[in-house]
Amino acid sequence: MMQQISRLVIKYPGWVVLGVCLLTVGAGFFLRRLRIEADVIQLLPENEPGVRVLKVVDDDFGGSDQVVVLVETDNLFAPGRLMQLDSLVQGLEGLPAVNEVVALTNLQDVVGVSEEVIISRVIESIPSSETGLKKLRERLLSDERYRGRLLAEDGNSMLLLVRLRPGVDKLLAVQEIEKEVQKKWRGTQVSLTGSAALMKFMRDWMMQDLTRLIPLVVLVLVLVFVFLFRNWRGVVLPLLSVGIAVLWTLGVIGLSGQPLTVVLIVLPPVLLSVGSAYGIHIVERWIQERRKGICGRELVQAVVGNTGMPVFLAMATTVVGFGANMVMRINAIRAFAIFSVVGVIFSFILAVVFLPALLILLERRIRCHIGLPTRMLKGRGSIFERWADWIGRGRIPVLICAGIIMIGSLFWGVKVKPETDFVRYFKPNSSPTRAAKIVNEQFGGELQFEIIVEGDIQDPAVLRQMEKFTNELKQVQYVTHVTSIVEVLKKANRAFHGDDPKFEVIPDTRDGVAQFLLLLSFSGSDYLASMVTSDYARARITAQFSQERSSEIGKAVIEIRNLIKRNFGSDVKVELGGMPLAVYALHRGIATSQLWSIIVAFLAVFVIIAASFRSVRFGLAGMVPIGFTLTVAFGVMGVLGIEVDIVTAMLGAIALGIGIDYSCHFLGRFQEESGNGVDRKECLRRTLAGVGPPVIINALAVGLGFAVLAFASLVIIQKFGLLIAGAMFLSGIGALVLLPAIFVGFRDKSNIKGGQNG
Amino acid sequence: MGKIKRIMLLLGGLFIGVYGMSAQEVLNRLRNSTTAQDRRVKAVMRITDKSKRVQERTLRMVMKGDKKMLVTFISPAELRGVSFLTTAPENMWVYLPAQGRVRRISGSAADQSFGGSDFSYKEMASISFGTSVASGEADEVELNGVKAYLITLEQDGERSRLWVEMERFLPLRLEKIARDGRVVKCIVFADFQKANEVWIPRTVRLDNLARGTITELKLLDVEIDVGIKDTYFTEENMKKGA
Repeated sequence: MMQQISRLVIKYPGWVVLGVCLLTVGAGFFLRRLRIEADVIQLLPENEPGVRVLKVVDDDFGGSDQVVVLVETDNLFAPGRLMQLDSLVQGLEGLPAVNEVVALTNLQDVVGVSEEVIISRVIESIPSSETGLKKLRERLLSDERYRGRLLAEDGNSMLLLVRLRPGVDKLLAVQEIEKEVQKKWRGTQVSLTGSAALMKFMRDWMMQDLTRLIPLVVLVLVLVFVFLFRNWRGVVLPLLSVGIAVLWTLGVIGLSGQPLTVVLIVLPPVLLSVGSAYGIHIVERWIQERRKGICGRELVQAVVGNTGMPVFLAMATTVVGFGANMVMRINAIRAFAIFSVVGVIFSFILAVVFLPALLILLERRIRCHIGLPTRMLKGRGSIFERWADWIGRGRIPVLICAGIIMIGSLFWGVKVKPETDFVRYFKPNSSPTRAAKIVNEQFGGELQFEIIVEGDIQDPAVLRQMEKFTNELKQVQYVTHVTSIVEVLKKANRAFHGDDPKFEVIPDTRDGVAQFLLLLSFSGSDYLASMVTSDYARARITAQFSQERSSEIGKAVIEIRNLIKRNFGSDVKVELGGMPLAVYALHRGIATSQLWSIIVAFLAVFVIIAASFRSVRFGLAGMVPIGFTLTVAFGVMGVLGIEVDIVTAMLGAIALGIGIDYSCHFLGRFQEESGNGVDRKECLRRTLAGVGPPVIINALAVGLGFAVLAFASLVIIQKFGLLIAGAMFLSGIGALVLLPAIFVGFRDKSNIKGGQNG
Repeated sequence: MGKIKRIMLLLGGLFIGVYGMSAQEVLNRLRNSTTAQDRRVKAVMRITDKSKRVQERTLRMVMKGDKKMLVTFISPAELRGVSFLTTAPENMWVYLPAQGRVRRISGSAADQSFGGSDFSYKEMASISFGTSVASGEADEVELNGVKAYLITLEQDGERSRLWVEMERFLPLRLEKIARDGRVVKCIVFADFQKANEVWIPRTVRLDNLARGTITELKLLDVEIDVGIKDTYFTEENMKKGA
């Protein structure tokens, strides 16, 4: 196949280049369709309970997305402060995207005084005197409905819950809220958090990363190529080739309408790093063949024919590694799997077709001798030849050391657990992280479980089931505040009976319930609409949760589901959902499928290598360096306490897909040299001298390309980049250390087939 | 209509033909056409929420002037007998039959939703625009092919736009405007019928654009100027129920 490709390139180099240029223009057209999606919900299938219930809340209870505005002051009850706050609340209420603002300055309350029911705002009028403000402070702080929910225990910080209209552009809504806050609030700190705000910050930072990381990766690759090739062609051509591949891939993403998620955003730098490797091997081989004095048609045949197959194998294994992420149960990771496979195939095609075509066209105009100074090639070769000799003598200690490291890594690696915590996607000292911490510690948490109860909500029996459930729900760890129509009805009953505590009970009859609900509509229909539908067929219970970690959420989910089973009868349908469940769904998706993706990748790569080299032993040997790398990578994660999140979940399969390339190059060259009739030691020396430099440079280029992700704004991308970078260096070194150590022990009569593949 | 009143209207019409009409004059003429001393109405209120769920309630409303109103729920069964009484915006009482008690309601209840509908209690009471004030000139416009005056109203600091049918001075459409200029509620008056020289809209539809909900009030039986006394608006009559 590679020979056919080389013939095609030799025959029509101009057409190949022209075709690539046209396709690139076409891909550029679809770049305009690219959009960034930071909404966590979009990462999950629609039938996930967490997502389904959020949709019910959107449709029936006025919207599930909210922005939490945290107002911090040195004294919230200083003269003028509450007036300023009220002005901010009114400003926010006037925003088109805002459905409702819940704040102390606009909150309604139903109070009973003797024969009178007072339906009014909690703060009917803001006092102007210091004494009045002090009394108001004391009143609010003594009421557990407000203290620790909307007002911090110290009375200096306050929350405004800004509920967005369903279907609005959340990013624009958060921008409007930010502008309004800047306009109406001066002097003290105001921070935004909550699902919609976090989504907006994440999108901004993803945007920033995309525009900052790509040039950085390119810069790193340029430096590596300059070091390797020391001529402009060696730098420009592989970069041009992989750059076009990235453009094509982004064009395909734009054409498909798939948004760039927090997972897919890492694809361009990943592709630049991975795809450049194919170009490195082609150009390196080109230089090597040119130094032998080969020119023209023979040169192309030698380069594509000899390098094409190992590069094809490298591509195939990378495709398998990236593609193995298809088994993950998370849409965003599947999308990454598909488009990364597309990108890798594009990179390969361009490396073996476009690069030689371009080189042919350039050769026609430029003199024949190019490439690295002889001393450099010689120097590099001799180091690796000495390395081969050393390995020949010390293979046993090398293998023992590797075994010890693997056992140690296994011990730590098994401790690595999946964990999804969106707040920890941001840097620890960032504003979203800080605000989320304060909200969790002082206001009962920003995550909220949603429990939808379907039945005759006006039936006292159903309400009693809800009451018992909510009482037990409050005992679940990290559940802080529970809100439902039950509490409101009980308060209304008490208020109607002159604030007599013995009437703080659910009314005995259906009529009694219905009539109180009618009375409550006077305190604002939005207020009721957030808890019960207008036909009283569905009610919503919300439970604030003060933990962001998916493992803790998981425990709570199990407990709440048990409470639902225990407390509700068959006449009532109850569904648990909300953002915590969405987080937990990601957790489960990672936990159940991450190992599978690695197993699938491992088996598929083994089959490809074994089939390509027609040797099970080659297949098994090829898996040793990457198996070692993955074990050590997980061991390092265990030691450093790095958890598996939505991005690092792809680490295993991706590292396997890329890292196996080095073994492929080694095996390909080893088989090629074995066919030349030399003994095993000489064969190893030649192999290491031939593939050592490109493997080191390749691992360096890919590893440094990933290491650039350390400069990302989002912590998950930083971790991913550094872990893969480490894995690349390790698998490169593993291929040059472990494989020679294994092969030097093979008997000469091993089933190494002579000649070359392809 | 008295002879003098007719002559005044004719003269008024001639004056308008020459000089145009102020918004306040249009509002006064509207009140003349639609205001009764008292009225007794049976109405069906249909509330459609954003998810198109419909709630139907039958009410009996007895009104005198712009301030006194007694509303009693006839259906659904669980609300039968619930009554609301108001003698002034700040004087509201509720009777809940399940509790067998009347309670005064104070605070901001009159500004909030009435019985889960999109009307506030204040809007229900002031549907004849008795407490509204118009300002500026009346613009001559067309609304759905009908010639109308467009005037601006102020009531309790809230601004509205009202389209008034030119021929009979009947309200056609009222838009409530938020502080930022957005239309938040739109009320359409239709199916006018004349009773005792007073035009009554048999259908009033309120679109709450901010919430996406609709409330439609269909008047079934309307009695105008039946001589309801002030003493009718009492706690005892609240308890008599439906």
